[in-house]
Amino acid sequence: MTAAMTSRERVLAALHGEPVDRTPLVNPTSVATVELMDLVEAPFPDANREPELMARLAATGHTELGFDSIMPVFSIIQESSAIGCRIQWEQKDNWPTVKMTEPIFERSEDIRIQDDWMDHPDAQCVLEAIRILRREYPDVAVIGKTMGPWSQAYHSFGVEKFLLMSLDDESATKDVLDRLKRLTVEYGIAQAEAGADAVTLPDHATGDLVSGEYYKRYLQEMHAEFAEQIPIPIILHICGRTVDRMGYIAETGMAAFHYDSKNEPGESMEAVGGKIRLVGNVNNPQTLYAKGAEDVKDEVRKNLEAGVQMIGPECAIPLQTPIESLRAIREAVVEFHGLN
Amino acid sequence: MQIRTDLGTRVELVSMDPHCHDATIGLYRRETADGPVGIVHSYSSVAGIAKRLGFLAEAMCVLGGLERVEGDDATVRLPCRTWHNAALKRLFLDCFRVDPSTAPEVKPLEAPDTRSEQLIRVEPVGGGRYRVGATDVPEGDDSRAPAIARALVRLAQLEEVDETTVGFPCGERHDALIGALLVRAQNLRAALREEELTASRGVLTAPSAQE
Amino acid sequence: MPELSDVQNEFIRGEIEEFVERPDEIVRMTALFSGAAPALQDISAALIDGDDEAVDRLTKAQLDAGVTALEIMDNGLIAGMALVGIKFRDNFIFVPEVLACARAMKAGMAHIEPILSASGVEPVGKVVMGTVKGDLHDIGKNLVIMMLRGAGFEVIDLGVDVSPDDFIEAIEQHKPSVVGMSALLTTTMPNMGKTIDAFVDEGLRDKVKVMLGGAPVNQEFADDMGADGYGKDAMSAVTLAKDLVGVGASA
Repeated sequence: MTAAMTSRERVLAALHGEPVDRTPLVNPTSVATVELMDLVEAPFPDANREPELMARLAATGHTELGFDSIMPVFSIIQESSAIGCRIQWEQKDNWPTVKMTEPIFERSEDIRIQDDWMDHPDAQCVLEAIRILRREYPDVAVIGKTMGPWSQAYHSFGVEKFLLMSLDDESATKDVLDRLKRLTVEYGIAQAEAGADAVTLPDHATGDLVSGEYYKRYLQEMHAEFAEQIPIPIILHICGRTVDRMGYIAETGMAAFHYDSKNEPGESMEAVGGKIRLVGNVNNPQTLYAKGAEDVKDEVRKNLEAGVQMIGPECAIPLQTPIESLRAIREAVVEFHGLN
Repeated sequence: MQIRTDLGTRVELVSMDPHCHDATIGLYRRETADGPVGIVHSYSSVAGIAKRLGFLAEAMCVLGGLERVEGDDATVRLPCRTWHNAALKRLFLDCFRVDPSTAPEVKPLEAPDTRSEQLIRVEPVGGGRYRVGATDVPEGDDSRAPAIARALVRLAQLEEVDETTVGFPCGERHDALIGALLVRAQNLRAALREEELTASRGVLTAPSAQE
Repeated sequence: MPELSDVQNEFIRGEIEEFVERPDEIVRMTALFSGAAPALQDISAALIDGDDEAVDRLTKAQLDAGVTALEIMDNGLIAGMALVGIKFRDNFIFVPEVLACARAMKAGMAHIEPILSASGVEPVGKVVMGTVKGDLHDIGKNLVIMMLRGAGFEVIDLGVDVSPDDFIEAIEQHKPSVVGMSALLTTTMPNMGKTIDAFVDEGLRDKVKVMLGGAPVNQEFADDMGADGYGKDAMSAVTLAKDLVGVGASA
């Protein structure tokens, strides 16, 4: 063990594969809840659109729940909103989503992204929230989020349409991804410049829908490019069963992979072979939301025992998750390391 | 306000209270030397929140026969000093239906059935047990009593004694509480539907899993 | 018993060899395809390959050649889909491939359906189908629906994310003999049990037969939930539905 570190030092060391004083608690995706919204008077949907509220709600992940990171991009819609997708903003108790039944593109040639797309208030909101957090929490890791082109394509083409395209026309599909990837890179760089220490990159090529081979064919090389072009560590996020593609993911040069509870910690550590760090993977719907603190601790311990480098929920937590379950994550880590 | 670590475990949560500026209000269960207590709590600091929490606690006392715990407007407990989790969850949710401009009223132990012409009556038979009966059952029709008894078991996890008799595991009488549950048991589907709807809100799904 | 070499279409032989692993299914698939005319095997092969243009062309050609719509559907389209279902279940193919096969099936059915509906064949039974609450996956369910319709069932498709109340409403309205529920997520599987419980609450459980299916479901789970049967793939779902309405081979 090294000397006591700040939260930020701890997360950055873990992302770089360096020694840490204890396993960091990292949330590459949202840990906001409706109760935390009340606590700091920053409710959805406003907290997705106003930088001060976004920063304030995100900070509770550190101040109230004890995470070593703060992640202000709760939803997955900011870029899609900026390029013209229609958004259902919902209310305090639910997530904003892209109306994928109203796709904005049909063919790859339709994709036109204005050079000033990032001036859109929904894109700017995140950048400003990161600046606020950087200023107010110099010792905590600030994590941004930039959506990958596969997820962007679901949003702008519709899931079924894009999946059929991926089978019918490999070159058109690659063209789509090529045209959309600038959103990923530009937003990632902008967040780094705003002060983010790392970015989460969700790209939902999930095992529930497509094969590991698909990941290799369409995304592996592109993800490696992102790792070179975005100047801060990238945490890739893909939901669902992903063991069959973890080997490919490990080769991309990204810093970490945020993995789902459908994958066992042990088999996942084996699959990545030490080439990428793992973050995860406490189950959301069953454990964090519905079970108690003891079950949460059990899952955290399984990860720690398997050598998973960063501990956190598997994905954005349900907004109604009990606070005591979330705080149990930190308690379990602290107990495991014999700290107080 | 800060996160309270003395609340115990959360039993139920209403994300947006329509009667109090969409505040999020929870029912928590805390163990004490004197048995478990329920705390009605919110992290919201909107105007009128303290009064609202007090009103909900009062509604739990009237509708469910709970008692106030001294020194706290929003802490209540069952007179049997145990905890009937499913029943209290249901009661808590029902308290949000009470018009805040009126005083909550205890529900009677009989009510006309919402699905038939029958009159449903719940009668204490000792040891925390209640027998469900139906009168005015038209000839040729089935009595609704067994269905209502089954619904009470499902809704409040009461013990099933026989086809029409249910019981609280503590063995004590809870007349007000069973009266409140009877209202919901008559339309079990609606109650469960409400639960499902609540559970499906606030869960983020990947684009690939969205409609 | 037919041998694999009795299947004339080389592509299909290769598919069975490569992708069908369970001995009982090898026997079933071999029997299924070897019993079909070579031209219908070609339709199956095109469907398995996800080639909607070829399925469209070959189906039309067979109808023109005087083969009955029912035979083309059973021995060409549905047989092909049975193999697709197995490949999907065992993770040899994923959603895009199944979407393409379903598109090919649709291309063939576009020729078949008008003939069948005009012929006034009495449906063998009525089935209400849906993916349970919380689950938005419909590929497996759609596959089963297509094959049930192909097998002569009238199917009411409730879509995805179907609440117990929607199932109940459909039972009251359509009075089906069978209700089929599908789930692809382990997290939504318990909703199958909740839906069956809801049928009990409403006094409807004895009025319908319930069958369950979907990737994470197995026989044991279906038994635990109190279902009448479990279909491990689309083909078994059809066999099961036939048994449940009393027109199956084992009925």
